Amino acid sequence: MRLSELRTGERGVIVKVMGRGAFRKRIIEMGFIRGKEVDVIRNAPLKDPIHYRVMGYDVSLRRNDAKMIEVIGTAEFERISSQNTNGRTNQPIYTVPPDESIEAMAIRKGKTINVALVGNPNCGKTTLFNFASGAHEHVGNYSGVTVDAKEGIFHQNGYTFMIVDLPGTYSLSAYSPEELFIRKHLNDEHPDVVINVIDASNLERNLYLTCQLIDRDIRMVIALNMYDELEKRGDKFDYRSLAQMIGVPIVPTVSKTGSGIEELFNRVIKVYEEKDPVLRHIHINYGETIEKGIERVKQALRQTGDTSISISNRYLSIKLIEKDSEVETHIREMQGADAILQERDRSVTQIETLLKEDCETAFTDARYGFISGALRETYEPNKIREATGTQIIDLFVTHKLLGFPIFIFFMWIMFEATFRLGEYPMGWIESSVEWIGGFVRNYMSEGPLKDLLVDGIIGGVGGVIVFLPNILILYAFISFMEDSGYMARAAFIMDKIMHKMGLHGKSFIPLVMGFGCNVPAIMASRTIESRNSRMITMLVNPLMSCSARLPVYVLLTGAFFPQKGGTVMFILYATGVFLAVLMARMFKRFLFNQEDIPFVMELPPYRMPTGKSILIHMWEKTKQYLRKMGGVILIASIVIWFLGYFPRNTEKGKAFDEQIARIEQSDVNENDKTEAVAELERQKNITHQQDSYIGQIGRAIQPVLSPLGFDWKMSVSLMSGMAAKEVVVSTLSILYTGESDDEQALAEQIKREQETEGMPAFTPLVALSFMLFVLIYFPCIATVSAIVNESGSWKWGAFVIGYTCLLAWIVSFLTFQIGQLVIQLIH
Amino acid sequence: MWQEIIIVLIALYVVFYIGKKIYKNVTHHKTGNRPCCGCSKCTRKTG
Repeated sequence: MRLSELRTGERGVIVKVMGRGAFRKRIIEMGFIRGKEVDVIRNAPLKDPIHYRVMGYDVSLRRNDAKMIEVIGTAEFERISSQNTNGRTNQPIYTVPPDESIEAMAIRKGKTINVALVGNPNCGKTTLFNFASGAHEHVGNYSGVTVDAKEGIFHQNGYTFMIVDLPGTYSLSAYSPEELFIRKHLNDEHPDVVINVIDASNLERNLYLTCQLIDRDIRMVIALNMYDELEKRGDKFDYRSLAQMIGVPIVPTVSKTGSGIEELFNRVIKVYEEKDPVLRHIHINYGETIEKGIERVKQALRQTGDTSISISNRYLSIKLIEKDSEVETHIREMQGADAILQERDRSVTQIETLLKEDCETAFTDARYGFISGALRETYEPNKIREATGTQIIDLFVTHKLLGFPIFIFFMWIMFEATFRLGEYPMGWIESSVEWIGGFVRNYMSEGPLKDLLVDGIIGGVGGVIVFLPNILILYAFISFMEDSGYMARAAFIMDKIMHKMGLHGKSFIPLVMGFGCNVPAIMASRTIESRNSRMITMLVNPLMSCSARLPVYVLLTGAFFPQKGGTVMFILYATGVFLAVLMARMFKRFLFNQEDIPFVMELPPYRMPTGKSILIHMWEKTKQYLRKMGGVILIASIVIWFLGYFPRNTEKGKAFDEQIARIEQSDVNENDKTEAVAELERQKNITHQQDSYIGQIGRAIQPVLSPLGFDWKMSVSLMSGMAAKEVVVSTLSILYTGESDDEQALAEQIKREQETEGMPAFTPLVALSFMLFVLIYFPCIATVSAIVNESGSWKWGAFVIGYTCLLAWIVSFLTFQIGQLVIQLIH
Repeated sequence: MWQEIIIVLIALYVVFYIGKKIYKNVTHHKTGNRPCCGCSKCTRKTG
């Protein structure tokens, strides 16, 4: 808790003093040191300032200042101690041995360091975070992998590190959501130490953010990441000298292998304890003209005496002169804002007149000048440089003629491998599911629970779990493309096409990610600066066929197009892409027709993804899939079973039972009797299914879907697929096979299934129409929810549901009707 | 008979689960999950 939260008469022990510069120094000099007791004597009438007693002296602090001191209150101490005694605590950081004093606890808590990871996109920040915290956050070789802050805990040398992995950013301006997010985190959370992760292969650009962090005056350690690549290139970098120059410790790291990470956190401890010899605050020299302007605004800020203690006046002055809208809003809320802003305007006019460029550019130039100067003294690139592997590979994969065939070839390989390689493990899982079903069927007593287990749960969930290998193979390919850097090239070669769609090249990555799962893909669209492109990318993303639709394709292509499975799947995915292009163009024309900002996309060097990284990614997906099995798919299977099982004991059912009983008691021979009973049982089942609740629902919606060639069972499975697309297969499994739980039996059954007129229910044409409908219609609930969250409006969620359902109907209708016409003409 | 009782319990659990999911979805949207933490100047809101 913070000192400001203690009530009058309460006592606390100081854990740490946050803040910076003169404020922090003054507070510490007053005696606010870790482990010291502080009493709240009284609050002033308006609760500000507050009168404290520390080390026998009485001091008064403003509430805002007291907020910067972390304490442990006696009440909090007693609560934690009693929890420990009762053995109920689940917070390992604050677990204390019995009889530990409040002072000892404060010192222990003081050894918890809040660390924020800040760096450019694709600098290896997330890999470093994963290595340190043991987390399994996915790392992609392109920008925007971390779209939210991720937290992890890590222990070293008796200290606990609470690490936050912030989104990648190039600067701390207030343009993109990431930049604002980081600024807000630094302002509100006051991390004790910031680790600025720098890509050693691109020092100049990465150090730009460092300059802004130096301006911000926060305690920092630089992780010179991917240092091995710098060494491999033969470059010479005297990072120790640079560290001395900028007053920030620099530690070379290779986050992929974990090299240097222990040393990095040792330096973090030293910086936190203010024992690092390198640590000092410097001012970046912006040149006489700008410096004069900064000084004038700083004076104006000082005169108000009301600026934030966590942000330096120099930083505020710089940001004001840079016309940072967020800082300006903050200043406007202060007393004397008019005077400050007038001074700012005067300084801006002067700088712009003298330098003949706008202030923002002047600052950018000065920072790059500072970096250039620093690197000239410390960095010597290898002059004899051979063509790098990246350049050679790029000659082919980004070639204007070869690029597209290579891309299409990779895509085809991906789908072919998903289909072919997946067949083997699929067979093993099928056998296991079949064995479990058989075991329950043979050993459990008759009753509705047995029916639920065999037909509902094992039939439903088992029908979907067999597709896990296919999904994993697909994810392995996507993960490989992301991590190797090929995905960024694909975005590069697709840029022109994306522009024709009214999108950015950057939109390509969320769209390809959509092949895995639409939800993270929609979240990844956050990295697109232009709102128009971002919205269009989100709206067309559900047309990118996610892996949840794969089970439906595998089932139906396996049953109706066994020799051309890979090709049919490729066509389905291509149709999704084509429709996405079409809809994007329409949305661009009718909904988002404003001009876009220019496209900028990095081409990171190729890196061979480690097997571990791909395996971690696949394991994460397996967990997600299994969780889905135990959640939404299990529940949907149970619901479908309930709706199909009830109502029981109907008049028609009783009539069938009576007929069966009569035949069993008759004198006909045994063979005829068995055949007649089996036929009656089949008729009874069909009648029961038709009269069940699900049958009633299916018949109610069938008129809408029958022009597409779908019977009521297909209609019901489509309805259930709204929860999650995998449920389509489990519903088909329950409705068509009744008691069977393996995919092979389902494939056989849907080929045999006949309508009441004796025509087959599923033909290759119906299967194609059905797969196209599944590809396009209603994105799952999670996707709709993601769109609502990201767009900030339910309207867009509803819009996506509406347009996808309508488009699915039109496409399936045209496919089925035109297909039938062609078949009639051929015959 | 015991099978019927378990079936009823499962049905109740399913109803509870679906209700909870719907409630979470609705309230999740209200609290927001924006990358800018509800920052008033966020380009995602104003853009």
